[in-house]
Amino acid sequence: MNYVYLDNAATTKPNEVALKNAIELLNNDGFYNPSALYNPSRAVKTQIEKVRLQVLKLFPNGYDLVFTSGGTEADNLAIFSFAKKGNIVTTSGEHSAVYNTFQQLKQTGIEVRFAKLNSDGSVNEEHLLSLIDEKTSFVSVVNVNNETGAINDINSIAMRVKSINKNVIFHSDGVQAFLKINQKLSQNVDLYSISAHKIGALKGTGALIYKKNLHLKAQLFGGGQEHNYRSGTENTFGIFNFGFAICENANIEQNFKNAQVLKDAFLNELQGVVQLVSSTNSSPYIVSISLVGIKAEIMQRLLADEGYLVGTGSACSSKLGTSRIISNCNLDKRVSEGVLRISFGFTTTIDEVIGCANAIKKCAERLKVIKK
Amino acid sequence: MKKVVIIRYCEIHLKGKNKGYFERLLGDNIKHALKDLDFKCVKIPARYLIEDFSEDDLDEIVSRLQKVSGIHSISVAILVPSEKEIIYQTALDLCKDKVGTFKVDTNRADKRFPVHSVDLSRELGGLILSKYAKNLSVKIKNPDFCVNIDIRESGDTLIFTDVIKCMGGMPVGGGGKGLLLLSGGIDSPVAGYMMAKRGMKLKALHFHSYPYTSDQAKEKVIDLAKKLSLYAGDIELYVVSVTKIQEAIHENCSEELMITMLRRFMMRIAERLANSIGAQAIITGESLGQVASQTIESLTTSNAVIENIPVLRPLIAFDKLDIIAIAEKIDTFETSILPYEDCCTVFLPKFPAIKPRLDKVEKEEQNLNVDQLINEAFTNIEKFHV
Repeated sequence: MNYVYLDNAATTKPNEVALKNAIELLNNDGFYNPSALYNPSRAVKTQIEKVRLQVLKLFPNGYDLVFTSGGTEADNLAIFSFAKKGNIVTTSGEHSAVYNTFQQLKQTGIEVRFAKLNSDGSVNEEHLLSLIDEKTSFVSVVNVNNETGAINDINSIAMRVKSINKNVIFHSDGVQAFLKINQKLSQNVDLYSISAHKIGALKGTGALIYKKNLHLKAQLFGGGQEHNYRSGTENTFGIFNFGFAICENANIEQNFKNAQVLKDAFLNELQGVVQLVSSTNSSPYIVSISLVGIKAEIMQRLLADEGYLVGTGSACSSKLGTSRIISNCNLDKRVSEGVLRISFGFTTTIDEVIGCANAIKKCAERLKVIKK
Repeated sequence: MKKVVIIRYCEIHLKGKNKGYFERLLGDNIKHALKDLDFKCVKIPARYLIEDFSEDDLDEIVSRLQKVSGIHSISVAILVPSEKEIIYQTALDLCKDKVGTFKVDTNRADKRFPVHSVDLSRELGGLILSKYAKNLSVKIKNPDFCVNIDIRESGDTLIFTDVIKCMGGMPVGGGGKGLLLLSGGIDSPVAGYMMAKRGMKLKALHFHSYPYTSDQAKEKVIDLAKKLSLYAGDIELYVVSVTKIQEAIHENCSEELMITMLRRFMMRIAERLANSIGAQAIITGESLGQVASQTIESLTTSNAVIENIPVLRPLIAFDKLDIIAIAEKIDTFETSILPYEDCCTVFLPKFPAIKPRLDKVEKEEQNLNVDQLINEAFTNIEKFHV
């Protein structure tokens, strides 16, 4: 079955051109170990540095980056480098890569504080700020919530946090924001995690962007690659592919506008059928809706039968329960159990989203019988 | 000298004229369990022997035989010609890596063998002790291991030290055919195992309700049936969708009776299927009082639709923890607790009826076209061989 894929917040289909270019590079003497001393391997090293600069160009001066295996490793590297003393603060809406790492630190005796969410999944800023004190060493706030698409204004939040305690190290998980939201990071954001497979590259590559004056604490030891911050032979192919995928999707503003058109058309089609969970201040790439009273997992299965793959914010099984993030949005249970996440990619078309909206209507009609 | 596996059986010995039938059945089941391996299965008095296998397969053979119902225990033995020197040398080699207390036990079926069993035990025990005095000492009552010397009439001798306890029970196939209601939970695979252990050949029936339950839930049940088949032999698994039935009950009947009514449908479907596939009983994993649908009133209400087939409930008096212990032993527990539920929470009443009354349930059922719903359920029956 040919599925229409609308779960791009989970992962994206590899961009064909970026993949082809990376394979070509690999076949053209791109397989050498970049750390080897003979001349041909230097070309590989040069190519990695080219991608490094290409990524850094998307950030203000003063930042450097470490290539990692993905967003999770980047988050872990950031947190384990700096969240060591006093108290550390994050939000209840973080991706598990941050949330569970904080939980891990809690077990080692560090005081961990979680800020509440607003109903759209964005952080309740006032509550977050109330948790910051002179002993706070580290704060992490997700840039775009991966389930609801809510945008946190991390530049402003970082500034307000630092006005309470200037020594705080501020990290943001930017996995759902990178190359999707057109924003210039402010210098108050010290660390920023990104991932390649959310923008049309392959899984297995990501990066931690960090302020140059910071010293990360390596979590992997060995050959001293990546300025000694991340040992292990570089994932050369993944990095090449990452670079090419960025090239292919470089027009952030135009892509953003396109996504907005898709989102508007999609929601327009579903007026009166669903309740919107995302607020106006959200990424146009992620639309969170609830089919109030119809469990999302059931709808997800029926939509797959109709040829549309979408995400859920909750799971039907009482053992799995509703997703942590959606539960933390304090929605009515009938709303939170019905949360579907539709997320667009750079190649999603208007026909696909309209088709999906119609399929949702059809399936909702089919499930009318169980709606309470 | 070669390695063989000695297979001992248990209750079959109690059989009178039917003994040969059960022995043959067990032999067939042993051959079936090992069917993809090279081996020879030989019948000797009161035992089977597995011979001529590749030593690489030995662990696999031992593991599979432990799951064949009707086998009491097995031993990996060394088969040598009945010559004193060879027997002694082989026994000494067997004790090379042993530590602790031991004794020698000799069984001399071949009375032509020149040394009496008591003398042989004493002499060989002395030899072993003098060679491995550092690690071994003799203990006649409850030693850590026993060197068994079995001098057979056929002119060869079996030598072994370890006895591996097996499943016990009766050979599958000797106890008729049963249709197991197999959910994705912990209890029903255990119920199936218990009946297979008593010799019942299993067929299984699973109810699913896509899209309210997932395909993963169905796959989980197929996995459970596969695990069960290691003990019960090949299983035919039937899958029937109760989606329409659940929707109809949800729409037309009292919420608190949802589960009771659904179970009545399941029993009706089970009996009809059992009749059509030649199963002589229905097997369920019900345990008295475990949940609302397993009170005596609920069991009575769901049992009332059964016309004339016995419903076997081997776990009826088992505590949950005892059931879990068996589920862990037969390796179904980890699969059973995977979070794919076999009944969507949509259909779970907040307050299920604990003591449903038959007359009330029958009255509620009048709101439904029972026969038509069951006929429809049978139109999309799926069948898997595991």
